[in-house]
Amino acid sequence: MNTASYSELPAMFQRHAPPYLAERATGDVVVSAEGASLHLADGRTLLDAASGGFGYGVSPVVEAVQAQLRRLPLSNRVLISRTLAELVVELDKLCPTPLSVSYVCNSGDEAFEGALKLAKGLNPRRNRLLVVAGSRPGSLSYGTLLAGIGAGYLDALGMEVVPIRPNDSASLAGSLDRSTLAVVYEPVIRERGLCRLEAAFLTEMRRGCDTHGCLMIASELHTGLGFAGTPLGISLTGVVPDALVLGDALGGGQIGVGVYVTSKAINDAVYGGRNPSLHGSTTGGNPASCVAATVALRHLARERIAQRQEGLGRAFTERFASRAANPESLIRNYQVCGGLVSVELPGPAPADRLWRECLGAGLLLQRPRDRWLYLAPPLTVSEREWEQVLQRLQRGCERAGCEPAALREVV
Amino acid sequence: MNRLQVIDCCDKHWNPTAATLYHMSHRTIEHRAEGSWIEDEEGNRFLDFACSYGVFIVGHANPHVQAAACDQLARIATLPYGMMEPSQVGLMQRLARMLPGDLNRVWLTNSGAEACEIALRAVLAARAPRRRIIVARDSYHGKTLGALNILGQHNHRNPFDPLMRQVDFVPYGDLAALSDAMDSDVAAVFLEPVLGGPYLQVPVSGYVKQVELLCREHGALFVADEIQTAFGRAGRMFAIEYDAAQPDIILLSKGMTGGHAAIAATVMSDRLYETLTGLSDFDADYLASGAGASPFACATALASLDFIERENLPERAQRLGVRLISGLRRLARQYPALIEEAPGIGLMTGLKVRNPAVESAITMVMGRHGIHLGHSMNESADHPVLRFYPPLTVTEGEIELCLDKLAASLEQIGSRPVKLFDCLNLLVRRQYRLPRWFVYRLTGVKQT
Repeated sequence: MNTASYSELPAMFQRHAPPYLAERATGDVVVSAEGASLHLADGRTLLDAASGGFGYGVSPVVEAVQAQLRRLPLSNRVLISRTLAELVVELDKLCPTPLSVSYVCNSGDEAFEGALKLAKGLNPRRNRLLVVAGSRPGSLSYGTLLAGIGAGYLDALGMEVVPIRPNDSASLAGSLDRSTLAVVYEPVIRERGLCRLEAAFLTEMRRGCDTHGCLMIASELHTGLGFAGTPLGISLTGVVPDALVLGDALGGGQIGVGVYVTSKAINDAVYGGRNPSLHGSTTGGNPASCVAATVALRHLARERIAQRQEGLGRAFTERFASRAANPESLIRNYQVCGGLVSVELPGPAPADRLWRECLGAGLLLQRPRDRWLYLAPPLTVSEREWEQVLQRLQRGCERAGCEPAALREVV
Repeated sequence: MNRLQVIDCCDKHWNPTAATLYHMSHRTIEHRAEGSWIEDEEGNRFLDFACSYGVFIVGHANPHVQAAACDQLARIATLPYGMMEPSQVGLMQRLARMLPGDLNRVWLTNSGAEACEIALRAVLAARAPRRRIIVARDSYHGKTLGALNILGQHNHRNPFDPLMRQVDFVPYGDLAALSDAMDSDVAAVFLEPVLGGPYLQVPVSGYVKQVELLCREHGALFVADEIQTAFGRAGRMFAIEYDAAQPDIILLSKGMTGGHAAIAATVMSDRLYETLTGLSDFDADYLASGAGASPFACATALASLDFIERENLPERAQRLGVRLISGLRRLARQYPALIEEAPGIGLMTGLKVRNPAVESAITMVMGRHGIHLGHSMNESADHPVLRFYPPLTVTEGEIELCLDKLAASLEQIGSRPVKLFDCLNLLVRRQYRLPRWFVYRLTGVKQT
């Protein structure tokens, strides 16, 4: 402990933390973690099915980052970085053609803003953003605006935002025009359950963006790197965007890293022949973060994490779908996509009750949004840990009065 | 991969103009660092007075910070929402304790630009329906698309214009201009207590306080951007201390982990926090950070702050800064055709040079002498400031070594007719638009 005993932390936290953290605080203090397990100061262990991160203490990543920390954690930005070169080669291997040029920064949020900046550089006078409704592409200013938060204040940014219903090709086609700066989407949207964007809709989006010369931006903060059961969420349909955004889990559970990957043609059109510092940051693409991301990507490929995530969804389905539908149950339905799971309850109150009971049973879920609960375990969660997640979810259901036998698969 | 293959990767998959720059300027590959020194893969050692524009406050690979960072990695490096972790809470409390007044609410983020964006959103909400933001011309507040809206360096903004309309730029240090720009529609003034970037400028005593008072008079919020100046770089723990100024929001980043991890903070006053959370439509996610406040970065920052306070680095920066600045000014007087002046405060120092070509020449020759400097990378500035930002742990001997090498470099450069640099400057201003083969031929390197 640095400054206070564990018992003092909650009060200190409430005194100094910003509201988005304070409001979500469970009161639990974590002292260490490994795999998907969070070890608490009071001796309990929580299983993490909320972070959508990489996983904790994954040895190859920890060891590589520690070694880099001892050598050169951050660069003075004068010499050439081998670690950065190795990461962008790795990202090139991961992404489909023509996505081959990466901008590496400190977070997924920054990466998304970078992709939008790319769009702005391509068409500076355009000011209209289309977003597939329910997408949460980031939490910086434009990401917040696109998520529909604080629009009354952020109108100062001078950007018009047009939400498009998921999979509504007609609405999309009718909204695209020569003032459109970019179309932003997530391959799987977590809003009122899980919604996979269909190939026909994305093909229409691709065609529309090509026709009107605007950027198609896929935010894969929640779906990329294996969460959707494929190495990238865009692999679900095969439709390739102009810019792909990755983050959070990319840092291997060690360091914040974000990246957008685009084509050489688009990158050259905006940044070619211009000062190399036109876009960049002091610490973005630093050696320790690049090492973390490179080793993390290699680990994901070696361990076939995407297939494993697909297996998580199957295990969830097998466990809960085999039970008979029970109209008395509080749980209405669930949806899975890879390792992403949503559970629907009759209303916000039962959802909150189930969330609390799960927490009591040692399972951390994301706070419910309205009547939906979401499971987003770390990428590297093991089968054994996932089995424990499901057991604890079942226990939480029983305590909350939502008999799991009532679960019905609808997707 | 050998050096050329690494450059080729940068060209194909990262930043082609940076790759060209690496190749033509014979840059080598970084390998390790310690104290004030960087070593490349070929074993060459360089004295680091660049420090990524001020990041490495506690020296490279500081053992105290390294140990804390590695220890935290072994325990828990990242955290899901909802959980608390001792280093994260400890850092929030520590910053609140260090800062003056009621700056008690701490948003921890991943970069200075993210911290700036939190502040921008906060002031737009807290002072709605006011919309105008005032910033200093040539100021630097980050390059994310949101932060770009209030960036004072037009060379970085122009390719993306039009941006936010209601942003006004006033000359730094000009109180009358600021006073004229203030009215009841101004939501906030963003100000660096010392103007950083390639326009390094130390304001007259009392300027920052007067800016604060103008904000109070007009009901605007005062945001102090201390991303570059804080934690001793400018000779005080925070540069606002020179004027005893009290901002509503302070932005912190670069030196906070002493160059061991990326982190930033937006710290706001209790009063502003209450205004925001009291808004009828306030949504906590309006001011969220996706992956901020990692325990790894927080533990690293705490260890760095321990070291800064224990070693009294701000005082050291002030003391050694006097020596460095007087040496730079002595050389500036010796070469008035090349150097206009040597601005600086603490160990935030530089040479304001004749033109970008002179800046490039000094940087290149100093590089050959084994000294890294903070090149502005700004070919559009008339008189860019070449920065000398050593670690605050730099020794007197290292400062003398740098000044000796600078004297030798200036002697070499000064032996050329100054008109040569005016001609070269025409090329420097266009260097990124020139064909690559031409640039390589001009600089004597073989095409990759």
